[in-house]
Amino acid sequence: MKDIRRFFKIWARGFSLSMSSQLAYRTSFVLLVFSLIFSRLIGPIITLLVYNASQGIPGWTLLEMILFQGVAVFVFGFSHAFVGGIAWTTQEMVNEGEFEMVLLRPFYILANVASRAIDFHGITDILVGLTLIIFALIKLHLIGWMLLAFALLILLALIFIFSLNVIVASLSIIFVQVEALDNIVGSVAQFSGWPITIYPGGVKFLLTFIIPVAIASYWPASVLLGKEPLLNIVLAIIPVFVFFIFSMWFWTVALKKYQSAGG
Amino acid sequence: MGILTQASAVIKTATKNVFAYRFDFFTNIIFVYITLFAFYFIWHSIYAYSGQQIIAGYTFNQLITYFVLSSVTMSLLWNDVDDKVSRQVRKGKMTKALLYPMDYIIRNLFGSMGGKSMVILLQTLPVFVLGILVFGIQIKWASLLYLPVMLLAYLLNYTICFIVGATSFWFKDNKGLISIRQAIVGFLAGSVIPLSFLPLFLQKLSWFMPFQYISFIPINTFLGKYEPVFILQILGVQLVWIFVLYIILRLLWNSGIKRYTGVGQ
Repeated sequence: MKDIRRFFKIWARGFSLSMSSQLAYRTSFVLLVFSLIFSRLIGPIITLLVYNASQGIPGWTLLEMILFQGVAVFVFGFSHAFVGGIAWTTQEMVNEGEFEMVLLRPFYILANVASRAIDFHGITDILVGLTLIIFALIKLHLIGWMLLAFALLILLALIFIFSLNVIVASLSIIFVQVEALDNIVGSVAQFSGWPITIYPGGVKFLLTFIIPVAIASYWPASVLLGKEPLLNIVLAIIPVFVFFIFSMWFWTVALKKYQSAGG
Repeated sequence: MGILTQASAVIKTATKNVFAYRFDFFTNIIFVYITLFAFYFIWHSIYAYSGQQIIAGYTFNQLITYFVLSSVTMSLLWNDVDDKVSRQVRKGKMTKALLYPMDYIIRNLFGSMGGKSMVILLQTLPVFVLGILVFGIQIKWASLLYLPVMLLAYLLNYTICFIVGATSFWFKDNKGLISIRQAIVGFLAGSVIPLSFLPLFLQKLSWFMPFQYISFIPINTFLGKYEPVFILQILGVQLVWIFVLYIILRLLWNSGIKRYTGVGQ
């Protein structure tokens, strides 16, 4: 309990540090926020253009797709704000030879890295995602107890995103100086923008069970819209937990490898 | 030292720098293809579901070619001159950079082109060749006209990036502007989706802006969508835009240098 309190204290300090460093240049900050809002809206804008020019994605209306992509923007916004920096910070610290400092700290290594990894701009993404979700929910008149399942699945999506970033961070400890690893999260994000049903069986299997990115948009939206029976949630939940446990195991393996390499 | 010797020295150094990152190129190609495969399946299902042969002026094969060529074009266009200039101004390193015996803007252009030769070998060509093998991209004779249009597109994009970089003499931190440039130019250039998907008034407006000449028009040239005479017109318009933007860049640069103190932070 004490550890958790300490984690949040360190973390809150990291958050306020990130905020004040971003606010140092006001004009730049405002412009960055605008460009982020635009970048996050590109997915929904493309969807709108696609639905204008064609029938769109089989089985999904435009509004349903907006909800879908809102969830993806929200989940990856969480990654941008709070956990996306874990991989990046670890990489940077390993490259600069600063990682020993973290290893010396008494508190959990991961918590330390996480507190340094906060990016205040991710809040913009989260807000854009939330706006899209609320807009779609109101337009689609989706109010009811199914929202609880929706929220639960989004929570699972956040666990997935956290695990994904921990795996990338672990990889960056093992293969020092591989900046390209940053692309992994981006590539996975690609697959969260559209329903997994459009992919062939093998890819669908991969995205559901091995790297369960389906949780980052497909499962929450599908369950809420009644496109997948509630019972199928099990298919969504189990792979995420397996993925989470794997990421924790992999992180300890990477740390051991780093320490034994003379760190 | 003649300008050619100087240029070749700058180009050689840049080439070496890029070659040091060959592993990054390899992984980048993989990630480009993951994205392209995702596009392939998304659009396959859209074309199949709609039952349309042509959407926004493109057949399915043309659209896939468009996306592959968009990756090729982006790898050719990519440069970090806006970020580089801003960093040098912010950290007070411009003083040293200005002491070189070659004009700053021209020197950086050569440097960026030198880096490009390796990018072409390690990224552009593999992405393109894989496009032929995996997605069956077809090359027509008219596709060759992509090369001159692309060369001017490169200069045009480079000038725009440099202008954004030059604003750092006024804004101490112009990350915001750089990121706006990336998002808006990328979209209006047609890197994300062909501009023929946009509402008609935006398509018309695009003819009065320099952005579509950076990506959308070069790619359509590859697809053989334009008559050779029209391509001559395009090259002319590109040259005019490069000239106009270069004048703007020079004016900005000259007055920016006067403001520059070299103190740094």
